[in-house]
Amino acid sequence: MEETELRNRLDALAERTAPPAREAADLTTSVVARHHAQRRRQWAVAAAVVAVLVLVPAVRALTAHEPTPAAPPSEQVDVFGGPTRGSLADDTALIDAIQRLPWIRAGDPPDDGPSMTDLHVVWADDVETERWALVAGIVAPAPPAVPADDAPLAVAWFVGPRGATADQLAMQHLIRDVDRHLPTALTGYRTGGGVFHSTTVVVAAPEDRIEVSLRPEIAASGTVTRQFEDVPPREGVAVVFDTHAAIGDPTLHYRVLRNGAYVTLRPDSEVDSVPPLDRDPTAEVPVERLRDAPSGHPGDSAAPTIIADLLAGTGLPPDQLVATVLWAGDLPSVISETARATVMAVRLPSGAIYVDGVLGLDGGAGPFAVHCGSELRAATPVERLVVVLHCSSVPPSDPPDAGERLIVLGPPEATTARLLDAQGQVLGSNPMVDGVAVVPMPDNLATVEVLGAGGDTLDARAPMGVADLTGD
Amino acid sequence: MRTEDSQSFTEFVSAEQAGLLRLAILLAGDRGHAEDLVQIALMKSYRHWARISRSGTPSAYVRRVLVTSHTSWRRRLSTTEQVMETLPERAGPLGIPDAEDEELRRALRALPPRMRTALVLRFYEDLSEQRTADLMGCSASTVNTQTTRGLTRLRDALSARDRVREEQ
Repeated sequence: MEETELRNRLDALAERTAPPAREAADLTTSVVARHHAQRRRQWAVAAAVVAVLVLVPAVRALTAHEPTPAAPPSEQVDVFGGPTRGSLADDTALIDAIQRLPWIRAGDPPDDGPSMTDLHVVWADDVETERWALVAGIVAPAPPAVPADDAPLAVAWFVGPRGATADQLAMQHLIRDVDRHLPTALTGYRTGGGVFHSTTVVVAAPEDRIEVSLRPEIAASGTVTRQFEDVPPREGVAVVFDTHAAIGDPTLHYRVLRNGAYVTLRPDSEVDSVPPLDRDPTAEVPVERLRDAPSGHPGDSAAPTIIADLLAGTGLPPDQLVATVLWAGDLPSVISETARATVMAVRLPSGAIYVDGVLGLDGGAGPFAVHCGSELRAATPVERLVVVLHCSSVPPSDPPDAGERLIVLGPPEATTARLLDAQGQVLGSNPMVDGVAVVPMPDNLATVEVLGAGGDTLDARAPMGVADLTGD
Repeated sequence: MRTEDSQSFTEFVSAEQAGLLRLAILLAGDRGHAEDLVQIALMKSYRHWARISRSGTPSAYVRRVLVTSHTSWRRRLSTTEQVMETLPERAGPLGIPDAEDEELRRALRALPPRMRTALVLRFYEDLSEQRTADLMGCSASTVNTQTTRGLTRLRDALSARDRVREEQ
């Protein structure tokens, strides 16, 4: 691929996939509100919300130490100031050496790090088998036109083996602009014993209370919530360990209580350099089939990505999931001869069902997956599910008939998929065979009604979007 | 903020928002993050708008803030217990991706963030190596290295598909 072609393709990708612009006045209002919220009401507003939540205990996840509404703090706390914290704080030689470490990643040229001033080791400690340190400083020069007192504070996390010298510590993560008043956290992973071990370090102000939610909880209704538990910090630093079958964005979220007000955040994470497991946890999830399997296809290898994403997003172990392939079949594609579509329902421990559809394609460089959509459903027998998916494996320059397909699945007695626009006008009716209809994607589709033999509506669904498993 | 500055900021948002979103989608990889990234960049710039707007280069400044915010991103600061009306609409990965776009997007996202940023700034924003280095806070030689490696990895990922399309 020539550079000119890359330019053209980046232009096209940006043009076709960028979110639509909002009304300028509307966006400005949001930006200004966010600015004021961050600057003046960061904690005070949260306190007000906590007051509301205390009145609605069913909504709240925390069960102990109910915070009381508090007046806004008179002064903002500087999380990264003050004396060095941690068990290594008194080792002045080590702390001085850590403070002098270049802010570069392993393999980068020695002079490649940013120029720093006002360096300060915030925290340094041995954490199980590792030695961690958090260093703060000012990136010089500050961006033009920014007053010196507003110069962005940067922090860098360094990690090495337990007992490491400063030279043995490697920079794991760099944040160039942190809010001095908010805590920061990093989740690091290592591989061992067939699982990923995570260490999350939360550095808050010494007087902050830290609460952690290890993972989202998905109820039988399909709703996602979080339970937060107190983690007693030492000098405002909390360390939490966990194990995972798969990793992506950290499932751990944390929140900090200061003067009766909560702020909820997520840790940063570094997963790029984590060695893979020596086992495949997706293979440990039992997979059943609702309908006969089609003949083998290279794109079948996309199906396990559904389970892998779910394991990473929920933090659940594989032995708590049961998957059912609702349907698998082939769609036209210009990349490979066909694309293998797989629609899977995964039963979660609560009984809730996670439904996901994926296309598997192979353009010659190995198969890859394109996800069509996902949803969380309330507990129900998987054979009763009605699923509507829009799958596309063709560029927009090709005629829609070339590869855009609507997949409609229903219970065995479903006979018709009736396609409606937003005004309820019928765009078409398609027969369902064995509860399945795969048709070209019509323009302006809003809803699909699945009808029984008597014309009764079994269910009506819009094409699936993307399930939010975060619990935020 | 004075009235004329406020008006100037709104005019800037009106004129530049679409371009910022296009840059952000390439850097962030999904719409929810891209929207959030643009809001963060605008919010940080708003604090100093009077000075920025008089410096005559607000577009370059905001883009710099956007890039540095991306590279230092604290993943999706969740303010669920704060100011709900200011949260961007949450969106996951692109809902219905086109296959060619999706392949490039996947290939970009598979690159380390700095490599991806270097490619986007060099070939989408058409910045020089030195200007890219300034924005990324590294040396021009590193930008050169990251760009070369990134191009190789992108070509490896995309060439097979290109061969298939040429044969058709």
